[in-house]
Amino acid sequence: MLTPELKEFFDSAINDNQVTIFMKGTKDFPHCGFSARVVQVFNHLGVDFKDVNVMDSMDIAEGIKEYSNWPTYPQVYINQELIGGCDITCEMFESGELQEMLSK
Amino acid sequence: MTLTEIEDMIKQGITDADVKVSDPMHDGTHLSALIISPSFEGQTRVSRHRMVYAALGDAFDGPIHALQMQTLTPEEAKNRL
Repeated sequence: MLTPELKEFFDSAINDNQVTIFMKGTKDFPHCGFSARVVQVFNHLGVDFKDVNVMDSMDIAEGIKEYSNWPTYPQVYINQELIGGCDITCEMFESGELQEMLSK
Repeated sequence: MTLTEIEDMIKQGITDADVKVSDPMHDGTHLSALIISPSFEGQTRVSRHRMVYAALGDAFDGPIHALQMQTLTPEEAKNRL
């Protein structure tokens, strides 16, 4: 359930960083191929990001689904907006839209 | 849950969609879907994916672990596939 405390935790992770990724594992040890792929994209671009490991707690794992209205991980936020998961991030990287968004 | 059942669920939610679900890793849980629908016209990628997620309902909490998606309008499909 999305408690007020949890919502505030998500809000601040997203508001304090240009890029926040809710993922399985961490940026150093991604725990899923899809999470690993988005980490690779941002590393390749040399863009630092905040990683939130959804495996840290069941509350985070379930809460972020409700918060974002998005049922899977990873979830990538750029400039306080959910841009999507692995497929969309990779598509936007390939088309150059991601780079453009990051330069804003 | 078979691939056809998943295709049917998506088609029930997005009635004008052309849907092909495959199992590229042959593990039954990391699935891949190509969805072509005029309903995607004018929608962002996020909203398109949400439309598919909505059609699949609770399936993500159970049988489907991951669904890779390509969501295209017929026009985009013509140019890209």
